[in-house]
Amino acid sequence: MIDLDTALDDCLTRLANGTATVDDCLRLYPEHAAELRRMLAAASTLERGRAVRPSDSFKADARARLVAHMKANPRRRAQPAAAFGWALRFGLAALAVAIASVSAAQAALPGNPLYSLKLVTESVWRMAQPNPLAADLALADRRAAELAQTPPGSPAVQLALQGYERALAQLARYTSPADRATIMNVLAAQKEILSRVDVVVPALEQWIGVTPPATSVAPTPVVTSVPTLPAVVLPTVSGQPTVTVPVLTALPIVATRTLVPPVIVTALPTALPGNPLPTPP
Amino acid sequence: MPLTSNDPAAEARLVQRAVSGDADAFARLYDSYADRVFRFVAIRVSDARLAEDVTAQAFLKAWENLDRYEWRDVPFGAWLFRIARNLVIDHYRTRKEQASLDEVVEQPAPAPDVDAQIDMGRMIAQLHAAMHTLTDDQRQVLVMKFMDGLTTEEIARHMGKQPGAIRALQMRGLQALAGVIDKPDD
Repeated sequence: MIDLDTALDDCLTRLANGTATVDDCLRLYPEHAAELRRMLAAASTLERGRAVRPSDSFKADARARLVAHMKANPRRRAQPAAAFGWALRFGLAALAVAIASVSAAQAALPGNPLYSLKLVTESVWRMAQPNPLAADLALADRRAAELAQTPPGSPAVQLALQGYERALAQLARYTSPADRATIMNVLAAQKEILSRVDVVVPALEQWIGVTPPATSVAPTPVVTSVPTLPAVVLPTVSGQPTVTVPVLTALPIVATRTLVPPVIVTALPTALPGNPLPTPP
Repeated sequence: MPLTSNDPAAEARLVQRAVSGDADAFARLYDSYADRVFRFVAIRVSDARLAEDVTAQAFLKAWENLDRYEWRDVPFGAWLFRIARNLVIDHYRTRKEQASLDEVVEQPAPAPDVDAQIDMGRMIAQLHAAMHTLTDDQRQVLVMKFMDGLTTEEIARHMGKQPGAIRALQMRGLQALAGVIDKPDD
């Protein structure tokens, strides 16, 4: 037997389509005839409600007010996809600029506008290093390399010298014999490199115990003819970005005026494959 | 040409344009829904002028809140009727009626003396009185079916219910209404 609600709905559809009369429906569902008759009569009463509608004047007036309101209060909803797209593009561009800047900064020498960024990234890198001595030695190598590359006679020489002296001062914190031995080995290598480009740093001389003759100690380093350095890409160490540093072993020795005895040079420790020191960013 | 509820895809496109700020698209939605919203409200407030005010407010509020509307959650018509229904409730709250909120929704408003001399007002009042014993869902189903001319499936879509549930609401609503009409005193 068909449920009453289904029979009712079927009858209402037939009546609406004009395919059946009320009597036809009652004959179609005799088991529900009494109930259907009452409900269909109620439905016909409700259909009078179709005449309930707003006046044309109200509709026109309300429409005009609505249109005026919409013009006075336009909706400017940003398209989420478009907004996200622009934000993504801007973010990627900013990220690319940041990466490029940091990367370029690694090759910056004292006096270069990006040099400050280089120092900042080094400080962040330094804080993350598990071995502070190795990190400080690596940074001292960098300062030494910068000093060696800075064109002689330029104002940046003083900046490079100060940077190297600060790096040497950092090493004074390590006082154990083992640390001192490690430091001396690295500083000896740095001294050799600097000697090859005729740079003498009194603080370094004092560190390694080689006190130059009084007449040969210059108040400021004497730098002459530093050649342009070729560069190589070093392998990444412990997740740090790859860095380009000069290979000092490839340098021709150009000694024009030296106030200290010449020393045999090999290369910066960080520039050599298999160097145990960490590589700064 | 007025939009019909038989073309939900066309209506969805209009709504999408309106959401993007197209005032003309929203004006077309007004043309399509103004009568139905008015009827929906009039049956609840039993006052033609008040129904007009609430109808106009409903469309203004819909325009201002289109950002919050999501087609996939509920059909536009159902969302519009919900706004209208809330405005009716707000109206009675503002008037600090002593009747509870449920009574406002389920019971007739005061006697239709304001528009008693106007045919439309009288008809609204009669329908309002006849339907006051129904639940809000039953009343909504009967209004959509017999005054708006929607099919059972269309009503189900608008109300977010299954067609079987709509048929049950329709039957119980008509049974209750028949009981009222059968009473000689009513």
